[in-house]
Order: sequence, then structure tokens, then C-alpha cells
Amino acid sequence: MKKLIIILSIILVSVCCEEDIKWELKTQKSNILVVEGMITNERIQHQVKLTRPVERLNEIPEPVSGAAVTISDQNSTFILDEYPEGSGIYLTDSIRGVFGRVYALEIKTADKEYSAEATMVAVTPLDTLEYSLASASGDLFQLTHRNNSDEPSMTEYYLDWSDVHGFTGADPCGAKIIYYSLNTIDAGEMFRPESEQVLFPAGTVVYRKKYSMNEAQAAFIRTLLSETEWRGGLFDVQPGNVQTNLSEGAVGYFSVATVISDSTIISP
Amino acid sequence: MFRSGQKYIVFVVVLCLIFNLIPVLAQPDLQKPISIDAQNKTLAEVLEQISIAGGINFSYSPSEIISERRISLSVKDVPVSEILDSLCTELNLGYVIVEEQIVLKAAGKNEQDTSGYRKELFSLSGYVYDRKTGEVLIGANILIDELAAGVVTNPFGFYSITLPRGLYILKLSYVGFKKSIIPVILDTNIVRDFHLDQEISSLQEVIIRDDYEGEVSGRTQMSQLKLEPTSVSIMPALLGEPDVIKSLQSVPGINLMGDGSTLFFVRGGNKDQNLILLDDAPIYMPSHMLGFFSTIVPDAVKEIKIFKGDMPAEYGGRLSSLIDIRSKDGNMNQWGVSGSFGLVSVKGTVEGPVVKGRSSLFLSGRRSYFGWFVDQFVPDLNKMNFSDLTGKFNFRINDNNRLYFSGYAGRDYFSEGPSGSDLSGIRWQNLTGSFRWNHLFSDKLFSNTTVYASKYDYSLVTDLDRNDVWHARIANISSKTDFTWYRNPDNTIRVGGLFSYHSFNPGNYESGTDTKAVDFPIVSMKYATETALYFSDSRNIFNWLSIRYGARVNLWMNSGKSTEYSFNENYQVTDTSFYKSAEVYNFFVTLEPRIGVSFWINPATSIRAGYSTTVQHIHLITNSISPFTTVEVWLPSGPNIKPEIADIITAGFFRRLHYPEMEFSIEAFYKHMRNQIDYTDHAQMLLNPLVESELRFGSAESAGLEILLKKNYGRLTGWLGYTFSHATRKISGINNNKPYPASWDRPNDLSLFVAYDISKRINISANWIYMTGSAFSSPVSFYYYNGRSIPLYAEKNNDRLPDYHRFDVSARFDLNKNDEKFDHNLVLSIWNIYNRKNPIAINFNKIKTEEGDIVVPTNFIKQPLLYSTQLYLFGIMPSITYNFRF
Repeated sequence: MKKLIIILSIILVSVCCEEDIKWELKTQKSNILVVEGMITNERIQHQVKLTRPVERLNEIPEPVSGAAVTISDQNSTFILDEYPEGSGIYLTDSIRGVFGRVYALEIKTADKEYSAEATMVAVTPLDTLEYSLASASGDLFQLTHRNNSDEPSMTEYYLDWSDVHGFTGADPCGAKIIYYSLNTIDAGEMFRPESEQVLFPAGTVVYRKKYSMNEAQAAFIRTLLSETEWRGGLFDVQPGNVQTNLSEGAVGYFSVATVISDSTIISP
Repeated sequence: MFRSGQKYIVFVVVLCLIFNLIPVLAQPDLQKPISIDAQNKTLAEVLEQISIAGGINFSYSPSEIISERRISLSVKDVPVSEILDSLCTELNLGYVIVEEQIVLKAAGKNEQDTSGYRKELFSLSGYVYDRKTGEVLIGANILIDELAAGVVTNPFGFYSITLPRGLYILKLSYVGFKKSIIPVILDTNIVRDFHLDQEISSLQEVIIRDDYEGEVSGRTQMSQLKLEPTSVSIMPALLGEPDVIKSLQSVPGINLMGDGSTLFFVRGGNKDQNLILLDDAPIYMPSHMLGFFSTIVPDAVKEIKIFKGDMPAEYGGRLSSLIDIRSKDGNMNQWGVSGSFGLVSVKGTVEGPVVKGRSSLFLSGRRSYFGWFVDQFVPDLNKMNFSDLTGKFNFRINDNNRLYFSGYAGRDYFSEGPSGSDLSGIRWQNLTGSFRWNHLFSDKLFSNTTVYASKYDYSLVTDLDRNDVWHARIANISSKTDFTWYRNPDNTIRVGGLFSYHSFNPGNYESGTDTKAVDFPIVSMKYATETALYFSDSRNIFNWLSIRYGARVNLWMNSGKSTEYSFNENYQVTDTSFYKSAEVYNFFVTLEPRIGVSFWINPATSIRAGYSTTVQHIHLITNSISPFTTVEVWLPSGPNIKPEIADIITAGFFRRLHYPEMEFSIEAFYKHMRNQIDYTDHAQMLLNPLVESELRFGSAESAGLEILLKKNYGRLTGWLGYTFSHATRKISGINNNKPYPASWDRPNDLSLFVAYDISKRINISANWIYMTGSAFSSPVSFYYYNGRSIPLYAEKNNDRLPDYHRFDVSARFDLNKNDEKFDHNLVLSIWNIYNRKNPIAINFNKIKTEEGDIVVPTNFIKQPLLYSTQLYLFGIMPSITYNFRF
């Protein structure tokens, strides 16, 4: 299928072009709360990040400070503290989520109270790490991620080449790539636009962390990808706002996940 | 010099009309002196003597000029013209020269029209043919000036007109053919076929035109145009591929979705509201190469008729437009071959008589070959091509019965993998087949019965290893019968009926090896039957007033085997119903009234108005905004999808500025559409058994004004069209229930097309199109989640793409002199000559790589720097095509 996309891309790229353009958006100042929070089964300080939308691309978002943030399950309530002060980042104590439990997030700001719920589901094992030599780059490699799982999931890949002498790549330290596996089929996904190619040398350490996803989160991720990774191809669907599990018009997502991780050193 | 036996009332009116025709005709030598000596002979005998002596032929109705009357005539060496003048003056006759004949007519005929002379009516009927090929001509005009009446041949070349006894001068005309003036003595019912000669010039006029207003149903018809296939073939075309569908972009009121698209919108209607018929069979998706080219090749087409609304009652099934395409019958007289080579494809056509003058065969094919070029760069590519095959066989059983068999197969195929493997790729195909039987019950009653079937298949092979195929299909098998009763020149009545069986596969996964290996949801198949009856009556009430009214009644029934879901107000499933095969579980009865009225200020000027209701039961379900055809599916009306209904009001002013060279029209329209479909944000359209829960329904409105100025004949031809319109939608649950502009709303649309014959062998043409940019939703702000910048939208379609405009030119050079048996030419074309970048999308999620490529970011080690980008197709595109015919 990937080759097919390449073929279609060749056809289409031969007749289409994309270039940057100065575009005046009909922007609106928004007071919507943006929530980015996650609880996993790792015993760490979990965080919830609160910000406001930005009016233009690449702007730095304004943090939402001074909110009262709690996460609770059937047995306990955890109070999150903002740290550093004024950052909009709220941290739990070092706790771990438990598989099967329902977690509720509550946020109180000066004018509204927001809430969200999520259930932790089990993660499936990581597949074998797959990578190959990039044909045009000589001795550099690329990830060849395949979705072999029927369960939705998110896998973060941290590529660390800081110890590989003489290689800087796009960033001196490494790269972070996120793959999502969904059990739905979309034309936008099949005919997604060309994406940035991250190449890495032998000796790179690849840290992988796979997160489970419940159905609601998978639906959220599907809409998120529709507006990001899948947007801008030649078979786009109608744009629309990304789903959320937050109340009162807030955007973003509060997710809970079980995780599994491994690491691999890339060998030639 | 002579004596007459009986006097007739003097008249001049008819001759005044007739003399307008004379300049185009060859004339007999009337100055030739002759001698006649006839005493007490009948007029017929005298005329015969003149005929022999002068070498001329007479045509007349014996009863009209009373040829048995006795006269005496004695002249010596007197020119024929003088003899005729004297004879006519004395006998109160008139004469006119028509195609080397002297046509004699009685005087005072018009005054007798009201005195019972008209009551004796006879019909004149038959077919009009291309003399060279023997093909029937569709839409040929037959005009009788003196009666201000006429008729147009129907889609099978048949005409019928009923007139009082008399001698008539028929004026026959058809685009690209010499006008012909033929006298006909109508003193009994006559079946007469006419043959028209093609214009000698090989260069073609570029014409879009209304049907002739002289025909009673044509007098009230609005929003209808004909596009000549020959015109399409010389219009500038993308990559030199003449394209019927894309040429519609030049017609006011019709907008293509974008470059490289065969999807189009008519008067604010959605892209699935256009019915494309090829020999009565629907073509569901007329695209090749995802839409770069259309399936309809002009070489195989005889006629293209476009209804932008105000559809006659015999047509139905879509809300907004009908593109009625008739394929060529094939040359009845001789075998011929034609073809072309272009950058994209090779085309070939073979046609000829099976039994000369009685039956013919037509075969036309196209095969792309650009896959070969791509193969040089992508060795894994197995196949990449598209092809078309159009065939037709027609057979005249006798004067009253004719049979037509026609078929079309169009296929696209992209695949990868080992040679000979079909395991991975995309393929889609259109198949149609029609069997038609024309039967004449009488000279006035024509019938056509068609049995036809259509199928559109779409397959997406998604996994080479598992051979998983996503497959969607829509198909129908149908039968229809139409009766046309040409009651008299002022009245035509049409009745008919249709029965259709529809089947829908809304997209399911199928496994070629192991059905258990694929665990995807099953989307229920859908089946439905459609029964329709229609009636229409077109009549001239007065010379200045014509009316057409009718109605179409439609019964739509959903039947099993199928699964239907019931949803509550939150679109959650409340019930599931299973229906066994052929079990009817839902039905709709709809009435579609149609009415049109014309007021004729004078023969060249009319004001027309019309109202029609149209109903649509077949819905394209897609939330794609791409101009390309992708993985769309169709669903029928049913328990969860009500039929789409449109009420259309049109009014217009039509004026021939300098007949027949220029025409001017202004048309206004208003269209209200109910049960329109839109989609929830990010609706899941594929492999979703509950896809109906993703649909939202509401109404839509469009209104506009279309202005068209056309010059149809001469060395310089073309048109200038302008449309001002608006299309809005109001859908429950979308855009906070507030109205929003449709994405295809383009308020200003201007098109200019000109073609000019520089010489008999060189023709140039140019095309300029301007449209307001289409509406789209742009973000009002962004937020960040997990490193990604996510757009926030406020109002739907709140922004517009930059205006669209493009200028194309082409030149055609005939490489041989006229009348050579081997005819060939070269077409040079430059599409988008000033290299306008017309974006199809504006994106806000791309980065620039060090190499300058614009891609979606995947590395989120730090926040990527995003740009606004525009995606556009086709810069300047030159092409060359070689055409031949022998």
C-alpha cells in the first residue's frame, strides 16, 4: 500500500505543487481552555498542562495559572500543584494509575469548572522494531513502522544519537516520533501527505514507549490526525474541530494509559 | 397570350418569407428562351411542356393550384421567367425557386386558413440523416416559415409534424451541415426521410446552443444547452485530451470542483446531483485517473444535451442537472477509421455498415500509455492505465422498427507488485449497456423502449500480503418506455414509464484468500426498486404564447436483504431490523410537477419562466473536499435518509440578435432543496455500519443570474458567459444550526471562449475562465497537544480560496487539403498559459525541510516551525495531439 501511495504521489506530484503563502487568517481571540493531561501506570509525577489557544501559527501559548486541578479514581483524589509557578503545568505526586479504573479530572479556573473522565485499558506488547537503510542516504536508517496491532495505541520513539560521533541530523541530540495505530480506515490516512523523513545512523539508541488507548481516545486521536498528519494531502476531508472528553467547551484531552517500553541500539 | 379558367385570391405573404431563402440555392436558368403552343390544355400539361422545353422541374400541389384547369398558352422564344410571371399573374399563383425546382403555390392561402381549408390535416414524418455517414441527426431543425412552425428531430433522428393540405417549403438545418430547403406537397400522410450534407470546410464551428424554438416543446424549454462534440474536440484541453465533462466548465451556471476534477456543481447543487446518461444508462462516476480525465470521449459522442434545471418530465432522478449523451451510431454507408495520438493516450475508432444502409457498427476505444513513462521510474509498478471502449450496433428492421445495442466499459487500474499480480492497487470501472427499440405506431406516435444496466465498481487493495480488498459498488438494471405523440405542430404529448432495480454495496472488506483473516465491520448491502410514470404536454396556445406542463410520479421502495438501524436524537442505535430478501420495508411516493411558459414578443425574442420539482433517491456519501474522486460510496433513500427534493423556479429573457449568428439570454433561478446531506466533523465514512448516524440533514438554497452572449456561426464563434449566484446551506447540527455558504459557492463566474478560422486549414481558439474562490473553513486559532498544532474552527466555510482564473489556447492545423480521403490534423494546446497557481487547498500544518520540501512534521523533539501553504495543480501545460481519419 505504501508503494501505491508513492506511485500516486509521483503522478500527483508531477502535476501539483505546494508552496508557502502568507495567509491572513480571520482569527478570533479565544478564551477556551486547552487541556493536555495523562495518567499512566508508571509511578511518576503525572502532569496536566493548561494553556490558551494562539491566534497565529508558532505563537507560544499563554499558560493558565492558578487553577485548582484534581484527579480522582474510585478510591482516591489527587491534588495537582502548579510547578513551576505560572507555567500552567500541574503535577501530581509520584503515583501510578491502575488498569481498569476510571479516572476523573476536575479543573476549576476563575470562571468555570471543567471535567473529564477516562478509563485505563491494557496495552498490547510492542512489535519488533523495524528499520531499514534509507535508499538515498547511504548509511543512514529510517524507521519502517507497521501497524500490526488490532488495538488502538500510541507509540513514542525517542531516537538518541548524541553518542554517535559526527552526526547531528535535524537536531544534535535526537528525535521524537509518535506513531498511532487505529482500527479505523480513512481516505485521509491512506492518502496522507508526504511527511518529514527522520534519518539516523547506526549506534542510535531507540527508546520506545507504547501507550494503550481506549475507544474514546482512539476517536479523539483519529480526529486529531485528520487535522494534522493527514491534513494537506490531495484527498482531504471536511475540516472540523477535534473531539475532546472535556466539558464546558474546553479542548484537548485527558487520557489514561498503560505503557510498555523497550530500547534498541541500531546496528548496521 | 393565355386565358385562365378560374381566379384565385391574391396573396404575397408566403412568398415574402420564402424569398429570404433563395440566396443559398442554385437556380435554374430562367432566361432561357422557349416556345410553347398549348391550346385548351390542363395547367399540368402546360407546365410539363414548359418543363421539357426549359429543362426545369416544377413542384406543386395539384389540388392547390387546380392543375386540371384548362388554359391556352402560345409563346415563341420568350424567356422562361417571363412566361412564369405572366402565368402566375393571370392565375393568381406564386412561384419560388427551391433547389433547382420551380415551386408553384396558390395565392391567398393564408386567408383560407380559417375557412376550413386547414381542417384537412396530414402528417409528415420520417428521419433526418447525415448523407455521408447515414447516421441519424439528433436535434435537426425542420422549419416551415410561412406557418412559423417547426419540429426538431428527437434523440433517434425522428420527426413528425401534422399540417394542413398544401405545398410547404421545409427549411432543414443542423450544425455543421449545409442548410437544405425542400418543397413537400402534403396531400396525404407522408413518410419522408431527409439527408443533409456536411459542410465542406473541415474546420468546425464551436457551438453551444438552445434547441430550436420553433419546436413546440423547445419553445418553452429553459436552462437547456447543446454542446457539439466537434466543439469539445477543438476546445483547449488539458494535456490535449478533449474532455466532455471539463468543457462544461465554460457553460454559465456550471462549475468544476477544481483543476483535475470531473466533479461539478450546477446552480448551487451538490456534486452528486448531476445525472450523466450515456444512451439512457447512467454513468455514476465519469472519471479517469482520479478525475484528471473524464470517461466520455468526444470521438464516440453524437450529441451532448445539458439541462441545468427545468428538466422535462421524462427525466428524473437527480436534483440539479442532466447531461444527456448519445453515442454515435456508426457510418451506414462506408467503413472508416479514425484516431489520435496524444501525450496521454491513443484513441481509435472503427465504424461502418454491416448491411449497407440498414445497419452499422461503431467501436471506439482509448488506452492510456503514460504508465510506461512512470514505469521507468518506479519499476515495481505493475500496471497503471485507463481505458475506454464504446460500442454500438444499430439495425433498421423496417420503416417502423429499429434496434440499437450500445455499451460502454471504462476502467482504471493502478497496481504494484510482481508482474502479473493484481494484488495491490486501485481499480475502478464503469460499465453500461443499453438495448433500445424504436417503434412507430403511426406517423404521429413514436415510441422508444430501453432496457439498460449500469455499474460502477471501486476496489482498493489495501494489503498485499493478506490480499484485503475494500470494495464498493452501485448498480442498476432498468427498463423504460417513452411515447411521443406529435399531435399537431402546436401540440406534442409525451408519456412514459420507468422501472429500475438498484443495488448498493456501501463499501466492505473482502478477502481473496481467507474470509476469517479480515475482521472488519460489515456494512449492509442496500436494495431498492424505483417505478416512475410521467406525462407532459407541450402546446402553443397562441403564436405568442406556449406552455409546457407535466408531472412525474415516483415510487421508491427499499427491500431486503438488508439491515437497518434506528437512531435516537443523539444518533445512538435504538433498534436493529433485519429484512429478508425482496422484503419491502420502506417506500416513498413523490410527485414532481413541471411547468414552463413562453411569451414571444416577436419571433426572435421571448420571455420564459418555469417551475419544476425534482427528487433524488441516490446519494453520494462522502465528506471529501478533494477535487479528486476517491473512495466514495452511494446510499439510497431509506428509513434514515429521506429523498432529496428541489423546487426550482427559473425565468429568462432570450433574444436572437442577428439570426442566426448571435444569441443573448439572461436567466434567473432560485432553487430550494430539502433533505440535503452534510456530515459531522470527521465523520467516519468507511467501513462504518452506522454511517447514517454520521449524516446530518437540512435545507439548501441557491439563487443566481446567468447572462450568456453567443455567436454560433461564422469564422469567429464563441460565447461570453457570466453568472452571479449564491449557494447556502442550513443543516441541523452543523455550524451551530446557522446557515453557511456551500463550499462550491462561487458568486462570480465569468467565461469567455472564442474560436476563429484563420483560414480553411487553421483554426485557433482561446478560453478564459474566472471564478470567485470557493469557500472553505480556515482556523480562527490554534492550540497545542502532544507537540502538534491543532486548528480551531469557528464558522463553517468562513474563508475563501483565492479567485480562480486560467487562460488556455489551442491551434488546429489541417495537414491536408479538403476532400482528400486521408484527413489528418495537428492540435497544439497550451493550458493555463500564464501559469496561474489556482490553489485547491490552504494548509497550516506543514514545515519546510532543509531541501525546501514542504512536508508534514514527524519529529517533535522540539516544536516544529509551521507555515501556511497553498496546494495547487497544473501550471502551464503544453500538449500536442495528432488526429487522423480515413
